[in-house]
Amino acid sequence: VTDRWLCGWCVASDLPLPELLPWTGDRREPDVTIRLGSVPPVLDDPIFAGPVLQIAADGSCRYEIAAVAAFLIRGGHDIVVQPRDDAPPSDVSTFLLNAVLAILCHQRGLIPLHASCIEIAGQAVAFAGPVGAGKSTLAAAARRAGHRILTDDVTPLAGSGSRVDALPTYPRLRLWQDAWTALCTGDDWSLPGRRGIARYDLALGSGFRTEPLALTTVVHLTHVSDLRFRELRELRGAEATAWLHDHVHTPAYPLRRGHGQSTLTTLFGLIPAIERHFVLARYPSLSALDESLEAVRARLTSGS
Amino acid sequence: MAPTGEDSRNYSYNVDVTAATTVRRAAEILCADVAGEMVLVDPERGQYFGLDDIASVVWCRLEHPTSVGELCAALLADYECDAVTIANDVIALLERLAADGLIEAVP
Repeated sequence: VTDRWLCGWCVASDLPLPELLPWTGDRREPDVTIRLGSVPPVLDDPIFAGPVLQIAADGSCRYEIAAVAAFLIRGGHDIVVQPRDDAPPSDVSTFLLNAVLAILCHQRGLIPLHASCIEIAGQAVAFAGPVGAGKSTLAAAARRAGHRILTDDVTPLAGSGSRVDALPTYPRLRLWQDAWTALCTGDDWSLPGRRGIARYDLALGSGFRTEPLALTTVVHLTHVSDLRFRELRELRGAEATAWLHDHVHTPAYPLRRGHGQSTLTTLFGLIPAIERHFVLARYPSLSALDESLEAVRARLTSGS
Repeated sequence: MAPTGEDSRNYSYNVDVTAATTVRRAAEILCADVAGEMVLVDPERGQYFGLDDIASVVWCRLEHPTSVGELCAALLADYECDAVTIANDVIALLERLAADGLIEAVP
């Protein structure tokens, strides 16, 4: 199996992971190793034990999706995967490239934002929000409008007070069936998403940006059920901090970690470099996507 | 000594602030400008606090321990307001900041 590329890391994996780009960089020891193996049912010294996630005092994590796989994530570089017998590989990689990637980021001192990230006018713009908020759908609309995509669902942030970079992850967007139908053409190549769930993978090809990019703008997504309450409102100060804190991926990890710098401290070190924070309250209609995107683009290029 | 894993600190500080009190920022508090507004974070408690313009000015002036009298005199020089109003407002603000554990009186 050839090494793969993820966030600029060289990944050696027992799983094929066709979602990731192949590694084309220098020969080196892998930055991240993914092995098939046995994952213990219980961590030795958990400081947190929930139904899905356990965290040990040294920051190691056990993450399990019952019908799919158990994962052991250690030191920010070592992942052991124990798939369930009949779990399709694409189901396993779905969780590996989502919550497990977010935990890996936490362990590496990066902030995983629950966001999909696109490039607008040479800047990284992250659409953040919970499942169903429209992150991937907006990213797909942006792709159709010619913008390159950096991430889907997990946006790793690295940097310091003067600059924060969004790290590209892998060249896929995962869409609901309705968004797929509305936004993708016959030329788009897709794979079925998780078994039993109508989600489709859109392969980005040249629409994927592989270089990190300065994150200047975060747009937090919410839904309104009444068109009159649509808005794109700029956030400042504690309100901007609260929205960003709420949209860190896998929040149990930072809350329960027993060692090292807290995630809030790391996050707070990054915030000053993010120039603009918005909340986009949108009517969840596929026909209004371009309008939402244009509103964001107009605010970015107006310089205000 | 607090039992491991439990936070036994008392977070409702009752600080009596007078003109003679010298105050300083609490050591563990972080501050940053977030899109034009000052935010303070207490990483231990996982809480953050937004400051309005005048509270931000006061916070900036507390980079080094400062007496309340000095603080009021400096603000009086910068703002068109009477001394009594400034003293009352500053003391009320400092008592709130102290109650949240963001600043402390220097013994």
